[in-house]
Amino acid sequence: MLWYIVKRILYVIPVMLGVLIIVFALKSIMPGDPVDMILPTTATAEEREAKREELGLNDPIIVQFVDYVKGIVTELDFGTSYKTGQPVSEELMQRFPITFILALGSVLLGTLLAIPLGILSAVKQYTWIDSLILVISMLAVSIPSFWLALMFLSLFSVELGWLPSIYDASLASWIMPVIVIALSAMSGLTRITRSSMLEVIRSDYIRMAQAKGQTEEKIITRHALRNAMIPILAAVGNSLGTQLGGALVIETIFGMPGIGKYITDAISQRNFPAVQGGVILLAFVFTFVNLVVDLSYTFVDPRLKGTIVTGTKRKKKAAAA
Amino acid sequence: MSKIETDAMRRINKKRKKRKGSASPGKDAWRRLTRNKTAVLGMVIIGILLLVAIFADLIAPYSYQEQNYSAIALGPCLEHPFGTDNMGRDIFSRCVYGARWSLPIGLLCVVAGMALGGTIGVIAGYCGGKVDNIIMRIMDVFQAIPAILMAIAVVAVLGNGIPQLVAAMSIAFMPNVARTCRAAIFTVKDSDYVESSKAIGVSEGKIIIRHLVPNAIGVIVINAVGMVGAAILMVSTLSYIGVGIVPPTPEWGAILSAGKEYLRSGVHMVLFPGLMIMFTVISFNLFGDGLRDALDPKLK
Amino acid sequence: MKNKLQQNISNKKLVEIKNLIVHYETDDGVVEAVNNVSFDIEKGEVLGLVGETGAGKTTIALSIMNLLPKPPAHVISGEIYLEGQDLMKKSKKELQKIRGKKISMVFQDPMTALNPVQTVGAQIAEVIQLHNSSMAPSEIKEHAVKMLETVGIPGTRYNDYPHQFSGGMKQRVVIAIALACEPELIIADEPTTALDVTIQAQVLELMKQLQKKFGTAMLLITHDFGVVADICNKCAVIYAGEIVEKGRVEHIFDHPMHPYTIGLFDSLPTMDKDVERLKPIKGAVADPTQLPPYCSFYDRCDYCTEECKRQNPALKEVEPGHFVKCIHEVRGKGDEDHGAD
Repeated sequence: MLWYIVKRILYVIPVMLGVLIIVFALKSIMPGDPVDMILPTTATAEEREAKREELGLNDPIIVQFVDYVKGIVTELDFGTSYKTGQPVSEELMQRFPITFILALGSVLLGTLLAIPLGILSAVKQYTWIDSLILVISMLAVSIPSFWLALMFLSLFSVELGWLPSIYDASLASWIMPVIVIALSAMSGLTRITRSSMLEVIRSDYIRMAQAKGQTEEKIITRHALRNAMIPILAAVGNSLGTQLGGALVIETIFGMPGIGKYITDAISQRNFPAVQGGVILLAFVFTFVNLVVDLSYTFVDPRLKGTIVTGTKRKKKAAAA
Repeated sequence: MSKIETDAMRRINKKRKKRKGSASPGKDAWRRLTRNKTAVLGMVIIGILLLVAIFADLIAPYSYQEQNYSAIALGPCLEHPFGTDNMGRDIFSRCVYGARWSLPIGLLCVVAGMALGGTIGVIAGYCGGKVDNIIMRIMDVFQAIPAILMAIAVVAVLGNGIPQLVAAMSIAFMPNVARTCRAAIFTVKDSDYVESSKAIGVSEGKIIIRHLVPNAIGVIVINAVGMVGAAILMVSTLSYIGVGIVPPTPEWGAILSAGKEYLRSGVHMVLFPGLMIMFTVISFNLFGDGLRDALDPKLK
Repeated sequence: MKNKLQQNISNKKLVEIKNLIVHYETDDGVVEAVNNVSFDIEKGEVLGLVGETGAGKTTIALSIMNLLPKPPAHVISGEIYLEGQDLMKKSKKELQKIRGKKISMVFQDPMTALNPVQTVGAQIAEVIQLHNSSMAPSEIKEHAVKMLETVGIPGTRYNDYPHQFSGGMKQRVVIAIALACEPELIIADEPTTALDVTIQAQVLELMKQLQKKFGTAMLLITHDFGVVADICNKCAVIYAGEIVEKGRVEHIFDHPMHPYTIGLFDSLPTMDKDVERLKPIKGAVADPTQLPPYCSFYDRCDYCTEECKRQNPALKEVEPGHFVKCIHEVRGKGDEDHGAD
């Protein structure tokens, strides 16, 4: 058990290294000279060369990569923003809380809505309640969230003037972004909760609980939900990843100074250190969340306590093959 | 008693008549699909959208780039059912032509994504062992980057354009597709019927053709159809933030993106292209769900 | 008043099932799972319900518990009385008080019958707590431990999870749960089918002992005549959702009278006969979605005549307590054999 936790935590390292390689490779393929982004067009050839040397752009790509990784690992150095000349890590840290709260808060809200809805839908299968919930979640999964955000803006800000259209750090300006992302997270999670519950409800131990004379409510909360939890947890973890990406668009629409807006702005400015830093940070958060989710499985399902969760499953399958 | 029995008999006979004609599994699946009302609705909308895309020239009252300076930013009216945009272009016509871009691009992304991710997944699933392990660890890395972020980053590097967009989308979809296809192959490979085929000495090639392919194809098709909606959504999102299809191409996301500046003067510039996206995505999702239920009734 | 009087008369009968008809309505047609089944179980009696897979045994069991999955199941008609009260007319709440307390159930597959994320102790305690609301938690636990020990599992394993037990041990836990509130009736749905043969014997022996000890009535569903012979007093043979023969175990074993029952016995190996080959029943089980309006065993019957196609015979009493659903007075071979010894 302990060994599994340690192993699972250590597995974050190669994954993050892989992410660094991908991001770095993308940067290397990118056309155009970064020096052009930093120096004014009037700069002389010598000045350019000096800058290239300073940024280490003349070194072999491997050396550049090693330097970059070393910088991140030893002093959290993601380079300097071409645009502002500030360290990217500082700019990221200022913006990170907004994105994190937005994505995490929305996914939590979405989960809190989705689990009861999914359960209700499963318990009332084949009734109008089930159909209604399915229709709502189908709508929510099919609506482009940026469009929904714009519609909210035009209704609640432009028409009714109830909520601020631009983020101003007030609580009210969080309402729309959070709801838009929460709806998007909710839709998928509702469907997963429903199907997972449907599967569990048909199992023998639920019938056994009924045969004991247990009430329906307690059968759902005590027996069914915990057994249905693993796919739901996995989906919550995944949803957080999707919504970290979704926050990117929503932040731009509501002018929230988060990582997402930072990255989109940086892309249009071809400010690559900023893009790199942002992508790596979001990937790290996502990886970390999945780590937590994976570890939480062992608390949900005692069968997994003795064994290794995903690792053995994979190995078993590989061995069978 | 006897009345109950005759009642029951009548009900049975009624059901029996319905049963007639169920023969092959393919026909069976088709029967289940067509009996599913929402799936049929999805298919009908998809059919209409395809017709709109094909006959866009006939349906659209104006050209998608025709500018009319006497009719700038008009709300919906008789002449312009969806209104006009800031350059006096008819939004209805742009949306109609948009079907020619959004649908094929969405489908293309799915095909490319399935080709890339599917191949990787099938190789991993089929080879198993070390190959599988290495491939899946690499997929873990790709999965660590949220899909849309991946797509944006790739487009940012490759530049704007449809081939670049398709490439970016297939890379973004790759890890999930690979995982699903690998699981599909594994399920079939581990199944008792494959084991028993091996036991009676059926050749490897025959097992692949007779068992692996037909059984895995079902899962792969279900996933592919389910992905179309997501792909169209993602493409429109990329276009919206300006890294996908760029104006003046009348892709729905791009139309929407152009209209967002004018939210205060007219919601219609954003409303209608968004509705188009929504209906398209819903219809593909409905069809995809129906197809899944029809092909794999156990999953329902 | 009068009604009550009648009930008092039939008070010896613990469970009485009358004309039960249950259908499953699926996309592919109506499955006639249970067709006009009637039987009763007296206090402390063990009734064996014998039949092939798909004959409708489990459906009958779930009907008594009122736990049929609806949809697709529909109870077309029928009454089920427990101590004179119609269970079909009970509210959900009332049924919850009966389940686990008056009637409990032992399921076929112990591997799936226990909740994998709860300790076995908690699962036994749950049923005790449900029906003894005044009991203190410590008492409940004490009782649960006692139940574990009753079925031969050390009480120290109270906090273990189901996956830490073997199949036979799990079935013991299931039995402990079923017995925990000392119910009047236990419905055991093929309790030994999923177990290894050696374990089967142990579990069966345990059930037999506990049944005697607690004096519980039992409805034992099985497809194994050996099990019936071992612990049942009465036996009902079910084919295609209908009871084709019922009676005391001696009736059924000594002189089976329905061609299907006879066929079942002929297909069993016996010690006292030297037979080269066992004799299987020809054909396959009748399709429950397309049952004929006449005797459903007609196509497989060795004794069928034209007469059989004209009607679906009712159960008739051929001797006191022995009912057969056949128009012919067939006498099973078992008659001479068993009569001799």
